[in-house]
Amino acid sequence: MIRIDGVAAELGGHEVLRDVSLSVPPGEFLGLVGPNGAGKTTLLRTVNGLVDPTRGRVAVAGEPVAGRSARDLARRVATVPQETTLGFDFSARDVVAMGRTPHQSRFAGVDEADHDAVERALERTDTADLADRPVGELSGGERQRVLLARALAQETPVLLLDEPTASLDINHQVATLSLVRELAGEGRTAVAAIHDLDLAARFCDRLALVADGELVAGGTPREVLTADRLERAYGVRTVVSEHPVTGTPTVTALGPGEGPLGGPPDAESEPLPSATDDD
Amino acid sequence: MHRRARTVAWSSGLTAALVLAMLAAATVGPVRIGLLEVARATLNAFAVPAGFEGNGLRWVHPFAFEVERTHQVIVGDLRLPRIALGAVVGFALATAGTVMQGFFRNPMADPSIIGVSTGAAVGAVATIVFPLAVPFSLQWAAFAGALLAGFGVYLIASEGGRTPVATLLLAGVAVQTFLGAVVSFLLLYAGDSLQRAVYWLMGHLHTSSWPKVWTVLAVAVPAYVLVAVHARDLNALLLGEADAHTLGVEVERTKRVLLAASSLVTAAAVAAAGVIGFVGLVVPHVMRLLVGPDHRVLLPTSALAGAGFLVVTDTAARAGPAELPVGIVTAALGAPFFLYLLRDREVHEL
Repeated sequence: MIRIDGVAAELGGHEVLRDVSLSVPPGEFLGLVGPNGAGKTTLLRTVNGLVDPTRGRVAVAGEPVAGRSARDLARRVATVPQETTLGFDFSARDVVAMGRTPHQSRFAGVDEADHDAVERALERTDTADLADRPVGELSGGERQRVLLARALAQETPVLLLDEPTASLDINHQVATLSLVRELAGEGRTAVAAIHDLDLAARFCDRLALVADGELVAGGTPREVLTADRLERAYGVRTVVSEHPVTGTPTVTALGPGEGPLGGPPDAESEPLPSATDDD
Repeated sequence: MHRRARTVAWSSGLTAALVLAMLAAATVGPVRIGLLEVARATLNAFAVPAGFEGNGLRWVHPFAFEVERTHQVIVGDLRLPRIALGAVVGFALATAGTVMQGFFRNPMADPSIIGVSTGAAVGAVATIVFPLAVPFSLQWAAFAGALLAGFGVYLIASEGGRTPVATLLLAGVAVQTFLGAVVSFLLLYAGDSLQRAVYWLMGHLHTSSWPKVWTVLAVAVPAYVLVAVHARDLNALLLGEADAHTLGVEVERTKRVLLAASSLVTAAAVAAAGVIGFVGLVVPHVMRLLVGPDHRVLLPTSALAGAGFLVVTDTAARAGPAELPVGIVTAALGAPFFLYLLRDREVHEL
């Protein structure tokens, strides 16, 4: 469904991605992990057309992203951004309804399909009770769920999520990632940049570890999350063990290591992942 | 649909209020004329094309009520053109203001934010001060000045097919300042025409005529339609350009369309009536409080309310013993109201 082939990208003359190749089949939930500034957000943006690669190519559903109209792309790829600016106060339902934009004609109104898609999205993301509140008054976590609802209302085969759980409470972290899992189970392709390695290991089919603009490793969480690779990516010594309840890999950061990046342990070692990310 | 019903209800209510305000405004003046007489005279002035005659259209007046001859002239030829111009200019400025506030995601934005009004001022004042050197009529010189300024700001702020909104805003401020200096310089050499130039700058509707109304309308209506069919894109742009793109909005193209349409409509309004402040700033704010931020409702209601607001303020401006330029009245009413907004409302996004 998504094919990324030897992609390089620059932001403000600075190379942030180098020769990344990756493919995600339909029905898979891929987690992008890696330290701040590794290029996870930029990689997502090469898929939704916000960043044009300087080299290589990206294809969605067999067709190249480059040169496609925003509308055409938005019917295939929905994005849950990390933050959104909300200048004037729309209600949460209005924001979710904006997800229907790529399906609506400029000259026609809202039809039954639009209405149903919006209600379904509110239902599935547990935001129906927020629907009539102005988004400006919602908490960061509630707003993030509204943005997920907006992406669902877009009804696309591909879903991109940039730190969808960063400002969520633990119950909603689990609910959100379970929902994305479920969506993948229905045949959609989901790619999420996720800060929390344990959560990523628990919910994703595969992980792609990105560090310093390069793909360090890709595979099942068990294959990717090894002490050796994590030290190279994050510059921190870690212990990877099996979680006693979930049975998935869990990462404990110990102290500064001698990876190429060196430096102190990263956010993963802190109890709360920070909401800020690369670029 | 709920939203559509709301749009229709608000728009019809505001249209009715506008028509009433226009008729009531036509009763006001040195000669008092009753509302019924005004309504009759208005219908008498109403003409529809009914085929061709020679090299023009043949106009037919479908109504012929009994109206005193002088009253017919006062209402049809003197008051109505002015009231209609007020309505059209108010409609244009409020439309442009609504678009600019959404476009810049900035509640301080108004129609002249990218230098269009100051450009018009340069054209107009140059024509007034050096009538021989400028071979156009005042209205056309102002219109050309406005478009040159707006397009210049756009070119300055654009690079590689992109026009960052922040750059556009700053370029607009810089160009406005520069052109303001040009206007001041021209005024130094104004001599006898100083009063006329200053009067123009203050915004006025006293030089109204039907041809002026038609020229502004000819620009305002297509520009409004163009903006209105982009209402949904404008909503999406409020979430930020990156978000708008992922929702399928062709961001740069939409920005160009919105900028061009609102600059054109502002240029036409300013060229006809001078720089009338605060209509484009305050009216969209008030309507946003009343109907919410959705541009599908906000655009028509703001435009109609802008029309009504300018009709009422211009009537107030000419009702007193000495006629005031309407720009003074809109600012005098608009500024205190804006201060109230600043104190009381959440205008914190700056």
